Order: sequence, then structure tokens, then C-alpha cells
Amino acid sequence: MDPNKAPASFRKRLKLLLPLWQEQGFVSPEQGTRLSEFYQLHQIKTENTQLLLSIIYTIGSVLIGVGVISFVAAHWNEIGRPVKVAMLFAAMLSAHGLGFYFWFVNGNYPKLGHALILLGTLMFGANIGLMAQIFHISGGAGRMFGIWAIGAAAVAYAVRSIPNATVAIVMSFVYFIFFGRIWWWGPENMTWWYPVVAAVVLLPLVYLCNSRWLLWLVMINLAISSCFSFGEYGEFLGAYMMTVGLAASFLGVGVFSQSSRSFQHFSRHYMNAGAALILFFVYLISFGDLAEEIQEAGRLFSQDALVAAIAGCVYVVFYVAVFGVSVGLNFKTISDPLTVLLLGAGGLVMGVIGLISPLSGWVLTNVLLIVIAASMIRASFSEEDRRKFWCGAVVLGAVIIGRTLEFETGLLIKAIAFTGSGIGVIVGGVLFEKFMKKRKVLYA
Amino acid sequence: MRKKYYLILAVILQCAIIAAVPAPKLFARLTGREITIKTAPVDPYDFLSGYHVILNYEISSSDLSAGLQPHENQILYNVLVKGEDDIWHSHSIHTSYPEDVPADAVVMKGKWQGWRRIQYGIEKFFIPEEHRQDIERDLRQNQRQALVDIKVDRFGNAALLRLRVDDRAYEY
Repeated sequence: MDPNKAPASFRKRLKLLLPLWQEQGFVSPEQGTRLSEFYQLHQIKTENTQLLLSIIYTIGSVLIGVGVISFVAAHWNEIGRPVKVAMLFAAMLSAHGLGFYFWFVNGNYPKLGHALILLGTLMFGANIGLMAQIFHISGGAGRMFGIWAIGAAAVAYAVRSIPNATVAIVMSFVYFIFFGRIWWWGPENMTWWYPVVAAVVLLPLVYLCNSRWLLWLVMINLAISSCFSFGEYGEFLGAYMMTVGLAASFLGVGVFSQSSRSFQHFSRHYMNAGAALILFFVYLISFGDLAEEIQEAGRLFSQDALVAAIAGCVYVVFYVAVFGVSVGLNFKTISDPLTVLLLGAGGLVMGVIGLISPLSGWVLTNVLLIVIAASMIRASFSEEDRRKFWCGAVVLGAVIIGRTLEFETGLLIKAIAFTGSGIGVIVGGVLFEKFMKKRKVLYA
Repeated sequence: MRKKYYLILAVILQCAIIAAVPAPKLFARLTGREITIKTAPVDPYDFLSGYHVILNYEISSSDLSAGLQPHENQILYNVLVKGEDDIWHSHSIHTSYPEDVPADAVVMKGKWQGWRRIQYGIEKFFIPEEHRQDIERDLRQNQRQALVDIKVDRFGNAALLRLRVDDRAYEY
């Protein structure tokens, strides 16, 4: 594993605790030096400064980019068309050229060079819009974002740039939202290919840049676009099948990433995303009306919903494969009760739709959510994990609020439910923080 | 350091993309035939959107001949002929580029949008911020007199040149 990919919080805490461990004799001076060297603890301060510098340069580039866009959008009337076009090219090439110089020729300011190349990509996007303005081209702003994404992806691939890859992912998603048939005016036959192209073009960038941030962006992009696409062809059932299939894929890739030396740190993120997707859909089905709608749609399953059937098969195959491999290889993370529970939830809900009545499904999903929330909160205490506690609290709160809104209960009951949830979250939070503080004191 | 060569290639690609965006319009401007078409009245509360005027052409809402049932976004070719008023009007609409087009006719390519509407890619006329109020007022008062000069190339692509209201011409 690359020590630089260890969480920053872990390295900072290790740097803080190492002298204490050496003083207490838990760690010998040699072991301390080796740990310090392996996790490059002496670089933490420099890394912080570099990170701050990168953030400042990036924010600066984005601000200048927005400024240039506004300046040109003011449609400066006095300048002739050829001069305008020349200015646009000159501005973009200057940014890229200066970036190239500082990064590759001078070599002393790579971060500034990187920021200038990002500025060049932002100007590239602005220039597409301005060309449309100069030549009075109409025909949908959506396409512009798609073209912008292609240019940004090219630069991201060329220099393995996370900010440029971010622009590519965001712009391609905006293109999908604006141009896909999500809205009634969108063109036909576009939604089905977008998730496939996005996966093929954008996922390699995640691995090239080795970035968790990009991983999350691509996963969110794929999750939303796939659901929309399958919703288009297979109605709600299609979207449901696709989501569960995608969640199982994320979990599967997460499990397999554990055996990868270079991308082991992606594993947890893939699995969290998979779990979050399943959890979200279980929550949707916990609403009685939606459960009934899915059950209605479920009858189509045996008739002609081919897309939904394929997605269902993909899910079942992944589920069996992931579970089989995890049991066979005895992976550590998969034995986490929460993950197993979430994996089981997906399968259970699948069964509920086809076999059991909506009422049973509704009861089961609600019970499941409460069990998941309780499991998260229990795990948060045993693992001293703050994130799991708050996830559990959010799930529990969402169940209570969902049921309160679903039924036409009196205002008084609603008031009691909301107030009770609020007090519960505050009291629970305070108790948990006290627990964490106590543990910290014990181990400090 | 292959990165720097890849970056050069990526920037060349970006330049090519920017150049390709206005290429059909530029070709129409350079080689096309200039004609004048009429803009149909538009919703007075809708024609100015941001810094562009939305133009609703007379030739955009043409009646299709019986038997012609295009699907959404299908390419259509509108044959225009010059009227006695020097304005060009729709003569016939085809699903493929018509053969034996008379010398005094022009073919314009558009996309069927449903609801009797064809889009030609020249529906937005971008205007400078400082002239926004004047153009808006002018169009509101003289909606039925608004004309547009365009150029149409031999493939049917159109490029917008100027907007005319009475004797006033707006060209940006």
C-alpha cells in the first residue's frame, strides 16, 4: 500500500502519538523511525502547505475563468468578429502555454502550471459558448457541455489532472441532465448510451489519477444517470433493478479492490457507495405507496420487461459472486456485520417485490432500516467510529420522519414525533461525543 | 516526460473543437446565397431571453404535405422561393435533399420539432447588453415588420446575418 494514501487524519494522529509510544516503551526508537519513514510523517507540514497552495491556485483559476466568461459574455460590440475569435484563441493558448512553461519548462512552479492549465480548460468551455454567440448559433446549450467535457477529459488524460477530470465529469453530467431525455423536450435515444460511455471514458481517469474524489464523482454520476436511463425504458422497476445492480457492482469491485496493491484504498469507498445506494432504495420502498407501485410493476417482470430482467440477473449474479468470493477468501471488510446486512438487504428486498405482498414488504423494509440503523450505532461504539454513529442516527431519523409524513396523523402526533426525533438526535449525539471524549482521555 | 507531448495534443484537440463549432455557419457566410425571411409574431413577453432575441420564423411553422409524418428531430429540407414582396417563403418540404431544385429556389435544412415546427439553428440572435432595451422596445412596437437576412449554403445550412425592423438594421 502506498503510505501517502493512508488517511491524513491517521498520519497526523500517528505523528502525535509516536513520541508517547516511544516514551512508554511500546515502540522502540528503531521501530519509531521506520514507522515515521514509512508514513513519511516529516512531510505532513509540507504537504499541508502544498495542498493549501493547490487550493488557492485552483480557486484563483476558477475565479479568473468566471471573470473571463463574464467579460466576454458582455458581448463587446466595438471589436470585429475576426479579432474577437483571435482574442479567444489567444487567451486560451496563453493560459495553456504559461501552464506548460511553469510545469514542464521552468519546472519550479508545477502547481501554478497545473492551475493555469485548468484555467485554459475553463476558457475552452467559455470559448465554445462565445463562438455560438459570435456566430448566432442556436440549438441547445446542452451540447456545449458535452463538447466541453471532451476537451477537459483530453487534458485530464494528458497530464493526469484531477481538477481537469473534475471539470470533465461535471460537464458530462450537466450535458446528460440538459440534453438527455430526462425532461420531455430532450432528444430520444440518448439516455441509454450515456452511462456506458461515461463508465468507459471516465472510470479510467479515476485509476490514472488514483483519486478517491474522482471515484465518488464518477460513482454518483453513474448512479444517477443509470437510474434515469433505466427508468426511461423500464419505468420504476427498471430504475430499481439498475440501482441495485449498480450497488452490487460497487460492492463487488470494493471486495476485489482489497487484493489490489495500488488501489486498495478505493475498496472502502466502493463499498460505502454500494451500501448507500442499497440503503437509499430500501428507504424508498419503506414508503407503502411506492412498495405497492413496485409490486404492480413487478408483475411486468415475468412478461416483457427485458431490460429489468437483465438488470435483475446482473444483480443476482453479482450478489452470488460477491458473497461467494468474500466467504471463500475470508476478506476482512466483508465480514463486517453492517456490510453483510446491507448486502442481505438488497437480496431480501428483491424477494419481497416478487413474492410477498406490499404490506409485508413495507413492514420488512421498515424493520430492516431500524436494524441497519441500530447496527450502525452499535458498531460506532465498538469501533469508535463517529461517521457510523451519525449515519445510523440519520437513517433512524429518516425512518421516523418518513412514517410520520406518510400517515395522516394529527398535527399533535407529528409535532411529538419531530420533537422526539430532534431531542433523540441531540441527546444521542451528546452521549456519543462524551463516550468518544472519555475514550480519548483513556488512551491519551 | 511524455505528459508534455500529450498536453500539446490535447490543446490542439481543444483548438480543433473550438474551430469546428462555427465551421458550418462560417461556410454558409462565405459561400451561401443571401435571402430575407420574415419572423412571425412572437410572444412579446418571451422573445427576449437574456442577451439574445428568440426569432420565430414564418418558415418555421410550415404545414406539411399529406403523407409526410416526420419523427421528432428528423432532418427536413424546406424549399424556399422568393415572393413578390422580396421575402422568401416556404414552397415545399421534403425528407431528403430535393433533386432538380430550380435556380430561383433555395433549400434550407432544419429539424422537425413536432407541433408544426421546424428548427434551423438560427433561432437565437445574440445582442449586446447596452442595446438590449432599444431592440426589445423596437421589436415590441413593430413585431410584424421584423425581417432577418440570412445566408444559405448549398447543403442547406443557414447563417444569420442581421435583424431588420423597418429601416433599422441590427448586425453584431
